[in-house]
Amino acid sequence: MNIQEYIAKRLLEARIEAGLSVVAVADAIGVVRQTYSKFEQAQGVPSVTQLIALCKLYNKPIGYFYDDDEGTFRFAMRADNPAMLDTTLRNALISKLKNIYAVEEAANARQPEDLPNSLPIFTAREEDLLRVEDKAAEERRRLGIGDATCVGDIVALLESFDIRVIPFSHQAEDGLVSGFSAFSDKYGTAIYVNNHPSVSVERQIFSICHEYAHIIFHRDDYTGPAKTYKTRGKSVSPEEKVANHFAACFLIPEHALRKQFFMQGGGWAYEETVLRLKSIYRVSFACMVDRLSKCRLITPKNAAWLWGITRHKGWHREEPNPIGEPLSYKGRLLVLSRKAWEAGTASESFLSDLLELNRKELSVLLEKWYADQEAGEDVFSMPQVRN
Amino acid sequence: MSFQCPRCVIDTNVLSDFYECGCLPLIWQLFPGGVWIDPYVSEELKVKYQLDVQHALAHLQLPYTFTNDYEPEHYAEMQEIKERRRALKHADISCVIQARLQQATCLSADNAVYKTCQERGIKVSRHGGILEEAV
Repeated sequence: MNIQEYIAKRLLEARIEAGLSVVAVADAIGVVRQTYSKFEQAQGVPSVTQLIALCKLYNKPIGYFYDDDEGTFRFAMRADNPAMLDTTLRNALISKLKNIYAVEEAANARQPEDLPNSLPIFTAREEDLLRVEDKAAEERRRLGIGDATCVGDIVALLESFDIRVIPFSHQAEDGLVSGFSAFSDKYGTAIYVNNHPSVSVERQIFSICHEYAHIIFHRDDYTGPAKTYKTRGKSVSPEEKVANHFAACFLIPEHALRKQFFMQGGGWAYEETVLRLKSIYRVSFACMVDRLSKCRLITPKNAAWLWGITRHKGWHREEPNPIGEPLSYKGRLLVLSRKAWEAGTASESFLSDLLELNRKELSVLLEKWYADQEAGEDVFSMPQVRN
Repeated sequence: MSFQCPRCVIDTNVLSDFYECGCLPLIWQLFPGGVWIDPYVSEELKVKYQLDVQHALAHLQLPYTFTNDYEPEHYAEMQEIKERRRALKHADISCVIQARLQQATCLSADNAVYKTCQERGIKVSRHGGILEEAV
């Protein structure tokens, strides 16, 4: 297929996707119907200004019509309202993953994917949840954190195993979505986490692990038709229960929790006990109460008492003693950006988009890099995180 | 040696830098053969820097030229560059193509654009080189 045919094909696909008529599109870019039809029949190519107008009209990135095919993106959407993943948000998320892929390539840091083994579990019976717990322990071992400690920097940990963790900030009118996960045949796997100020760091950490669970247990869902899961209320989808259970087991291994709990005196758990434990494991108060209860470290009466405190003090909505330091989502990107910049394979304009820096912030960063360069410092400092 | 009137293509950063410091007319003086600004660059300036090039340059009475109608092979070349250098933006790539088309000097302070031009045998100058180029 030559470039003219390629552009024609993409124009036709985009128009059909947008549900617009030839006349409407021709009007929008200021040409007659016949002229536009010729573009779709590969009998001519639109001008640059027309292509830019078409990208805006179809809500596509600039250059979309002649860029190489981006392959298929599959988002696993888990929300009570799937409409939250609208076209604008979806395009923004895809664009972020493509940019990360681009800078990895520019920094010569592409590695073969190192995803965990898939273990399909679509029901949440007791025996299923035991398998989930085993898998959480197995994953902790695989990622090198064992079962005696807290997870630490979850973003860096997963990124060292080729799972990109990508932040986005989104406050929908009708609620908040914590995260998505996506598979792309071309750009790999990504976990998207909402780092909107209203989402606590504890919730972000849990969401990342929750999405990681979907990648392990529900990978088949990414290749079939898009699915939506019920995330709230009494009829929560079993897939959600599985992912939540994995996240809790992964973040708070029973063995370690048991030891820590008895180090706090065991027996009846007061709110101070839970606050102490939640700060150790970097989870929410509610998550810790739930885990203590499921591990049978506290009695049902103690659990009910703690849930009462949680509701009474509003801690299910606002985290007590929250983690103050935000998660660092840009650590690896900064290293890759610098390497690509030094190699002359990434433009400054691209880097400002990737790192979400405005012109002034980018200037400050580049000045530092130039100064380092002049000082003859060794700037090729890719951390060797893979064993 | 025949007399050549130098012409140039300006990238986003050089244009915005010279505009910000109020010395944009200098480029027009140094390149009397013509100044090209690609529509992708204009679009990027509008979106990222809220700078309306057409309006700003009209106000400064600095006429510029742009190529709106690329041939299919130019789009193919843009695609080829983008495929090899994904971390370049379309505005960066279009400057490279435009400079080759117009046999002009590409004015860019960007390492990646500079390198791409050099690989393709296209004349390219950074900020400091702009003056040097005109001498």
